[in-house]
Amino acid sequence: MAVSRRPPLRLVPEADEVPTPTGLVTAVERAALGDPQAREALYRGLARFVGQVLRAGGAHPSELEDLVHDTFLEAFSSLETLERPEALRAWMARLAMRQLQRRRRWRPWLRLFGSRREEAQAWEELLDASASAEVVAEVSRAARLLQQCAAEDSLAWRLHRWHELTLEETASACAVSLATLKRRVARIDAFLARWREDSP
Amino acid sequence: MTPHPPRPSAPPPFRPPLSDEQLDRVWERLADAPTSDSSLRSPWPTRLALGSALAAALVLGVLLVPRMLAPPALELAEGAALPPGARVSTVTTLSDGSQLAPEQLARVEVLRNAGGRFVARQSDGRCRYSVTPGGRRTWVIETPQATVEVLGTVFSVDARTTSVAISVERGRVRVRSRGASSQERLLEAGESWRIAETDEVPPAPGVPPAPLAAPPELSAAQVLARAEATLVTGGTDEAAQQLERWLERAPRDSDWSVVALRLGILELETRKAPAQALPWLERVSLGELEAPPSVLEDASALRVLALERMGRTPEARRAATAFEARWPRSAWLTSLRDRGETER
Repeated sequence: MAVSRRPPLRLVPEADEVPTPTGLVTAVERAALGDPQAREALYRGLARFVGQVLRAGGAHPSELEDLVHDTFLEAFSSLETLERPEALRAWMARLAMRQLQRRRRWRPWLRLFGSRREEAQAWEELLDASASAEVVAEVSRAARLLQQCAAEDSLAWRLHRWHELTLEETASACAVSLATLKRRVARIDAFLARWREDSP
Repeated sequence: MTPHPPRPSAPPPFRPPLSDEQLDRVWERLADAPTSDSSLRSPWPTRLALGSALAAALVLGVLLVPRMLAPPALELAEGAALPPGARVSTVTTLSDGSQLAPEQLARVEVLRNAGGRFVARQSDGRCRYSVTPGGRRTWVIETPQATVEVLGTVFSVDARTTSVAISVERGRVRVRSRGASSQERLLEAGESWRIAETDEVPPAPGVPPAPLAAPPELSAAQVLARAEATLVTGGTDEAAQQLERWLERAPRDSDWSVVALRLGILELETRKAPAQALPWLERVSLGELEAPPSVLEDASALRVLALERMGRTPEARRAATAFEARWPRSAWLTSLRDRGETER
């Protein structure tokens, strides 16, 4: 009887399936040691989250794949420096934003993709097909309003309010303290509240 | 249509930023990247992936207990730390008396130096390792083609683009080749093993090793990818050297201008050295060689920025005017106009 040389079947983690807290610590430990399954589990669990952070930060769709790749490459090579595995998402958000900033530095022409004029339109296009016309209009209007605010305040607000990053994750992505982050989000909240009051 | 912006309690329904196909594509690229320490791959990955509490406890115990008993991290002989990411480019003596002696062009980087393990990656060149025996510390040298586990010894690793040769002078090492036909072999003093990506068959013991083939030139894409990977780990100077070496070695390559532009950007934007950037940008932009139109355009615009940052304002203005005349619809013009380099 011929012996099969095919590799044994293995489980492939589902996308967005973040390991349980106990499993997360183990997965981070194992991934730091080079375990490919642990790395894939982390990747599958966090890739979309990283993409979301990058998109919110102004990454162009055409550069998302490269940025996600570079973010995970950096993460895998420096997982040992992650002191609290439970803060993995916040740490990844920080790495993602750093990759984005790094790319903006050495490829200045890509800044053009992040121009504010295009941003409002881009937000519309990023909504799910199931979104109603009313929601699309609201988001588009809010995106245009946010252009009047400081870029760092707007980014913090979008990450926290729209993309539902926790305060800790958002603070890490924006590389600011929790207190600063809360002030930034509060400024936009107040701005939008004022706008609602002033609207006819 | 309501005039109200979305309220915080109702985040908009965003599309996933990446499709399943894109996710798989990125993972394939990541999986192809070398792992930092593949020698520790678990024989029970499925259990770990499932995260069962029992396996987690066992694995953590296995990992943490040896760490608690492990010797301290190695330092340089003069007491300086040797953290992950540190690069060894000269003869270096460590706190336990071990010595790394890289030859010119060798690339040796520390991946791990804690928990009783010292792991280094050697991706290029030749390096002689003299490891003090008798310690409780495990030494592992990673190369693209093989993993060398040190068992107290003096040995050399000669890493080429597509092959690696390990020669043992004293003691012994365990070598594990990578790839589909992965093999493991214990090398004793006086033995060598050359592993090529397409030829992983070890010679019979006692047979002198075959002479190493001359290293093939990297393609432009390979050297760019290598430089980007080096930049990710903060090796700015090294990335510049990699690009510069390649440019010197491949003056007739059809992608020479692309690599030269990348080096120009690195010098200008990352190292903030416009004077270093300018010669590369000029060689591309002033028509010394055939360059793709987009590369020519980028190099010409960056030349203006380099001249401006060097304080050569009149030249920068002239170059900017010429740029605008040649590329009147270029996206670069916004940046150049913001800097006052072109006529508004």
